[in-house]
Order: sequence, then structure tokens, then C-alpha cells
Amino acid sequence: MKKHFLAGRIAESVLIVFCIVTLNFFLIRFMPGDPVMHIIGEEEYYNLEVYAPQVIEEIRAEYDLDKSLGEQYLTYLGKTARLDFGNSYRTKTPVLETVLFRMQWTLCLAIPATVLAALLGGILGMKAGWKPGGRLDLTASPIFLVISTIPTNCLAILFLIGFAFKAGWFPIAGITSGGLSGFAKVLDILHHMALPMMVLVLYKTASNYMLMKSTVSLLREEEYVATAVSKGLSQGKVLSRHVLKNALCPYLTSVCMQFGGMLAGSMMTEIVFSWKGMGTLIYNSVNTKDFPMLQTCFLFISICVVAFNLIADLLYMAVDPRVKEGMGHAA
Amino acid sequence: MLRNQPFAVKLGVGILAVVLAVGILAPVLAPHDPYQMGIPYLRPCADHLLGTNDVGQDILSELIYGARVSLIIGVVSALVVTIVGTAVGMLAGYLGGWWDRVLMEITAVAQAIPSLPVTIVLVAFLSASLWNIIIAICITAWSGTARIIRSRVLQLRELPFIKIEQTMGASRWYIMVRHILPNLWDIVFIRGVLSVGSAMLTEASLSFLGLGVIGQKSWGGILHYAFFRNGIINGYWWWYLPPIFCISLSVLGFMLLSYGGQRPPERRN
Amino acid sequence: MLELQNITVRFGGPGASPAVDDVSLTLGEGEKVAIIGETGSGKSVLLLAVLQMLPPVATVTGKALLEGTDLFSLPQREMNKIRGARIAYVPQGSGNGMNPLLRVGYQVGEPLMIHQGLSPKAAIRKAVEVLRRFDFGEEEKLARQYPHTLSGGMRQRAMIAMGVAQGAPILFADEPTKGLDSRRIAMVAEAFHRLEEQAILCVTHDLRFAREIAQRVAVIYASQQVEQAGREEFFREPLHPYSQAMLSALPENGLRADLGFAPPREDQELAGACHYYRRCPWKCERCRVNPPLFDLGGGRKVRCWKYGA
Repeated sequence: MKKHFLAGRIAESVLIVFCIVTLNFFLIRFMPGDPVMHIIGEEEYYNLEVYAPQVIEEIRAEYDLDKSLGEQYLTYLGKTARLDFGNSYRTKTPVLETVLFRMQWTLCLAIPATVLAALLGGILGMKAGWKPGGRLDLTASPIFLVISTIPTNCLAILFLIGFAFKAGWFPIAGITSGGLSGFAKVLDILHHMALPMMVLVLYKTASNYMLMKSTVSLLREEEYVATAVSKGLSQGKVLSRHVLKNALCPYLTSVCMQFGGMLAGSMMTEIVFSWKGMGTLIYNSVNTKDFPMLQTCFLFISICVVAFNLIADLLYMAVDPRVKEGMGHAA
Repeated sequence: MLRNQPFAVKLGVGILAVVLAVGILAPVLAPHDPYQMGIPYLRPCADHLLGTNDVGQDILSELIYGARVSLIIGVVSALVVTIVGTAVGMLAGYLGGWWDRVLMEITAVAQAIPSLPVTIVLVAFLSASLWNIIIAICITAWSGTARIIRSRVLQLRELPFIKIEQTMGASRWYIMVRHILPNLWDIVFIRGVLSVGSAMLTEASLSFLGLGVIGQKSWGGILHYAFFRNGIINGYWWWYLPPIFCISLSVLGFMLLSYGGQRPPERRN
Repeated sequence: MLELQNITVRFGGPGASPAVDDVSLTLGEGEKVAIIGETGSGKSVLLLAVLQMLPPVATVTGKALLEGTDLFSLPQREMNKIRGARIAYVPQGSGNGMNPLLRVGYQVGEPLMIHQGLSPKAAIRKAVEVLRRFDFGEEEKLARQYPHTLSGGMRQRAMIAMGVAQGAPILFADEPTKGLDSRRIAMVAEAFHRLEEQAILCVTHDLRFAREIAQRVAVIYASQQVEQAGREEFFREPLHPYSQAMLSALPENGLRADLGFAPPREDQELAGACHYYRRCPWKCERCRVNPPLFDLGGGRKVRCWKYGA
């Protein structure tokens, strides 16, 4: 049963990735205007159209846009499978290299933030949900509610103003001040990382906290929690032995999904702090209309999301014995 | 109806009523024409309560007019998202079989696509009109609602009163509309109201990046200019704080309103 | 052994109508008592109140004396030593009384880990022995199973085993037959019969099950105790009109249903009247005042003016 479920989920994930690759392919072809225009940008396109129309045709050939749609699709699939995403017309560099480089900086920011927020939000949410109306619930809940109403970029701006401009504790932008090496460089990067990280952690903690709190406050009404109390377990032990395990299932699923989305999730924060990660890359590519770059970014993000959704399902299966075929998302 | 609601819901309704009134009455309330240019970078004074921006437009009037775009985009997107999400979830959950497989596969794809980047790309490559922005916001946002509705429908489908209808020969569409849908009201309401909030946040992010509706004032747009035209470096708090406050307050209003859809906890015996 | 004196439970402030209204009951050593009443009459609340497991909105007054100590005067920490060790609670088998993510053996053995400090391994080994007392067959396999794979009757019996695992002298059972068919009810009754030493306070709406397992019966109607009697007398000759109506609804008594239904305390005009006033075939002027619980001697008590002075 379990093996069957697993095989089904993996097949489904592959299918989803395939759908996204296909969507990616058609997106550029169905945008209004000549696809070549989207690859090289409007200005350049009009320039070339007037002064060197043959260059446009060369580019068309380079990106296989002169062939039939079916042929294009097949070569595209082949190239994608070989991780050959070509060169960006804009930056004249291999797309894959740029994306991987930027990804590393985003991950450097997003992984610690996600882990920290998962722990912080989980622990606080659990305590608040266990005693609704308690002191923690009454103080933390309104704070996190307000945080979640502020757009990420606004929170980032407020932090930038407060801690970087006014207090001067942290650098205003970028990843490093440059010219450093070794341990000093690591410290410098950490210094630059602090503010964007704080914003991400706060924002994710808020949503994690609310999820965990509502999960736990529902669970404490369950009969088996009453059973556990009736056996003479202390409150703490009821929480750690009986509630925690049950609350962890939906929580882990949600944290895993966040992990999947983290390549794109820090976009606004990155832009405000000029952090050279995937988010700023996407933003810059949008501004320069660099389509091959965008396609590759989307593909990587989507694969990441799909992979972590799969991991979430596997975790669920490992923790909850009730998960049967096709029930992966039912709870 | 409102009287029995908790304080939080009343507060939410109050906030939204004010924001809505400001949006509708914008021409009456605004002290200046928000597009009229004048002396730039004025500090708050009697004539310009919140000063002026980089081209001398009155910031208070911009804010008042900004309520319109934010509300329209938020509410219309939420309507689309909720209707599509509910329909997909209900069809997949109730009809099952191939309907379920195909619709859920599409939902999974929509969930795997990074929503904010895709929205940004769509707005950037299509023209930034009101409708294009709404479409771009909705294109992936419906998937969450669809998932939740489907899992509730799967539970409802097994309940006796639905089984009875089936044995009495009621058609599938009749059961869905008359019996399933009314039982989904609370989630549809909560999800719908929360989607207004998240659509407003997305809109704010878009216009912050300079991708807002062209030629329309919006809160995110004000922030865009404050951020990229030196409002922050120079410490013009009257420029960047009010739009942040307005966005947060409206989103808070919708979040508080969503508590109104929760069923009162049942007392156990 | 356990003496409940004038227990009243209210949800909300002192003005709220009580969920349990002035109930007194004693439970002797090894004695089996059934509390009978309709769903919603407040009988389950009584059990949870004694164990101090109601949410904070509930206020409980009265006394629950366990061998002379008032449980309501104990702090939660002391109560933890009572719960599971001196008084064990058996939840409904049809519900979610067992943690879905933990194996049956662990849950049955858990009271031993808590109160005797056994390691999980040793506790589970003991749990298998306890399960064996109830003749499940393949107890080792059962201990390794998860609750959702068990039938309602199996779950109920496993939970009875969970209640007696630590050897608590008193067992509180909450509707142990709810949602079970008659064969499974017989199996649960059989499991109760094996508990000779334990005193049992069992809340149920099932008269036949009560007759099967209880030595004494207490009837609760609309949060008040209306009758108390030994099993034989009660089933031979019920005194309160409500008890009579219940008994005549049994199949062997002709399945006569008492169709007159009226919510007991909604009516302003009848405030302070006998809770059974609207349904009662014998009602008279006197019943506009709620009667006290008359003690007729020999362990028989009834709340009806017909038997009072």
C-alpha cells in the first residue's frame, strides 16, 4: 500500500514538473508580439528591425524560433533535460550559471530564516494554542496578526529606516562591503544578512505561529487529549507526548511547502535590501525583459516546490499511520 | 447579525466601512487634485497636511484616491479567486474520478508556480491595466481555496443527508448547488475575505515595483516613489509611513472580518 | 470509598443554569453503579468534574471525597497522582479516545510509565499481559496496531484494559456502549464482568447494559438526580415517572415511547417547577415547586412529590 502510494506521488510530481516545463515553453510563444522581441527586448528589437533585420533572423535561428512549434517543443524538451538553458541575450552569459550563483545567495538567506521561523513559530504557537487566553496568547497573537497585515516590502522598508538609516547598526544594502577575505568576510556577510534575515524570520514566524496555534487549540479539544490527562500525565507531558506529534503533521507539511517556495518567497525583501539573490534576479530580468533567464528561474523554483511537497507527503506518511492511497492531502 | 459577533469582527467591519467610505467619497474628501503638480518635497503644512511628493502632488489626496484602486483590485480578485476556487474544489471533490484527477493536477501545477514572480512577469509583459493586474493576481491564487474546498466536500459527500438525496435520484448538479454549497459557506466566506487581504498585499507589492495600474494612484505606488525618489534617505516619514499604514489597516480589517465566519465552538458534554 | 456530595457544575457565571445540579452519590469498594440519563443530561460532565478535567469556564461546587480527602481541594499536581492511579477514566470507544498516532500497546501501558516509572518497553510488555486478561487473541499483534485499525468494540475493550492497567481501584466509564451493536455490547459487558475488584461508575443511556453490569442505578434527568435504587428494585418497580417512561420503552416492556417532549427549563412560567413537569402524567399543583430528593430508606431515593410527605 505504502509503496504504491509512494510510486504514485513520485509519478505525479514528475508530471507536474513536465506540465510546468511545457507551460514555460508556451508562455513566451503566446505572449503578444514576436517571441524574438521578448528574448532581446523591445528597444533592441526595434533598433535591429530598422538597421539590421538579418540579425533578428539570426537570433530567431539561434533560439530555434524559425522551426515549427512541434519541432521547437521537442528540441526545447531535449535541452531542458540536458540542463542546457542557453545564453542570456542580455548578459551574454550562460543562464544556468547565473541562476545557480544567485540561488546560492538566496538559499544562504532563506534556509536559516525558514528553519529559525519554523522553530520559533512552532514553539510559541504551541504554547499559545495550549492555553488560549493565556498571557502568551494575549500578547503574541495581536503582534503577529499586525505583522502579517504589513506587506513584506513595507516591513523591510521600516527595518531599513529604523536600524540602518536611523540607528546605523546595519549596512543599508548589498551582500558584502568587498575587499575582505576569510573570517572577516564571513562576519561582514553576516552583518549584511542580519536585517533581511530578521524581516524574513518575523514574517514567517507570524504565519507559522498562527497555523500552530490554531492546530493546537483544535487538538486540545480531542478526546484522546482528555484520555491522556485522565491517565495522570502532567500538562507538559500531555503536550509533548500526545499533542506535539499530532500537531506536527500539518505543521511539517506547511513548513515543507514554505521551503519549496523560499526561492521566490524572499523576493520583496531582497529587492529592498539589494540582496543579489533570485528575487532581484527575477526583478532585474523583468525590467530588462530577459525571458530565457526568467524561464529558468521559474523552472528551478517550481521544481523546488514540487520536490518539497513530495517530501512533505513522505513525512506525513512516516508520521501518520492513517495515510492511505490518495489521502496525502486530505488532512 | 453583527451584534452577536465578537469585538474583533465589529472592529474589522468598522475599519472597512471607513476605508470604503473614503474610497467612494474620494473626490469630496480630497483637499487637492492628486494629479495636479506643484512645489515638490513640501513638509506637512496647513495646506498640504501630509506634504507633497517629488513632483509636488498632495500626498493626502493621493492616499485618499489610492483607496479606490487597492479596494477594487482586492475585492474583484478575491471574487474571481473564490468563485474559481470553490467551483474547482466542488467539482473535483464531488464528481471524483477523472474530474478530480485532472482538476487536482491543474491545481498542483498552479501551486508549484511561484505566484508573485509570475504575477510580476505577466503584468510586465502584458500592459499594466486594471484587468490585466487582476488576471495576473488570480492566475495562481485560486489553488489554495480549491484544495480546502475539495477536502471539505470529500467529507460532506459521505454524510447521510447527501446519501439520501442520491438515493432519491436527485441530479448531481442539484445536490451540489442545493446541498453541498450551503454547507461550504463558512469556509468560502473566510477564504474569500482573506483573499481580499492577500490580493491587496500583492497589488501593493506590484505597484511598489512600479508595475501598478498606469495613471492611477495607489498606496503601493506612493511607496514606490517614496522609496525610489529619495523619500527614505531624506527621512520624509510623512511620505512613506501613511501608505504602509493604510495598506496594513485595510488588510487588518479583512483579517478581522474573517473571524466572523468561524463557527462558535461547540460545547462538549 | 468515593463520596460525591452536592456536586453542581456551571458553565459560565453563577447565573448560568447548571449542567449538573446538586448531585450526591456514593461508590463503595468494588461496587458497580450506573448513572442513567439521556444524552445531554449532564452525566458525562459529572465524571469529568470529579476528575477536574473540565475547561476553566466551568465552576464546580460541592465535595468529592476519596477516602476522606476532598479532591476539589487538591492542586493539579496532586490530582495527576490520583488520575490514572486511583481513579481511571475510560472514554467512549466509538470516539477518538485513543491517540491515532500511537500504538495500542503504548497507550495501554502508558499509565504504568507514569505511575510506576516503567520504561516504555517494560510497560508495553505489561500492557500485553493486561490485554490478555480480556481474551483478545493475538495480544502481541494488537499491541503493535494503531487504533484506527480496531473496530469500535475492540477499541472500547482496549480502553477498559487501559483503565485497569495500573490497577486503579475506581473506574469511570463514559458511555461504553455508544455506537456499538448488540453483540459488541455483550463483549463490553463481559469485559466489565471480569473487573471484580474495581469499583465502577458507569455513565450510560443503555438500560439493558446498566442492568447487566450495575448493582445500583442512579437516574439523571435534566441535570438533576431523580432516582437512586438497587438494580433489582429499580427494574422491578421504578418509582419516578421518568424512570417508568424509560423502562416502558424497552422492547420487553412493549416499546412504548413517551412522546411528550418539552425542553425542561426554557419556560419562564415554569421556573422553579419540577424539571419533569411538562412531560409528567401525574403532575399536580404541588409540582410547580421542584421536589427535593426524598430518601425512602434502603438506598432508595426519588425526586417526586408523590413519594414525599
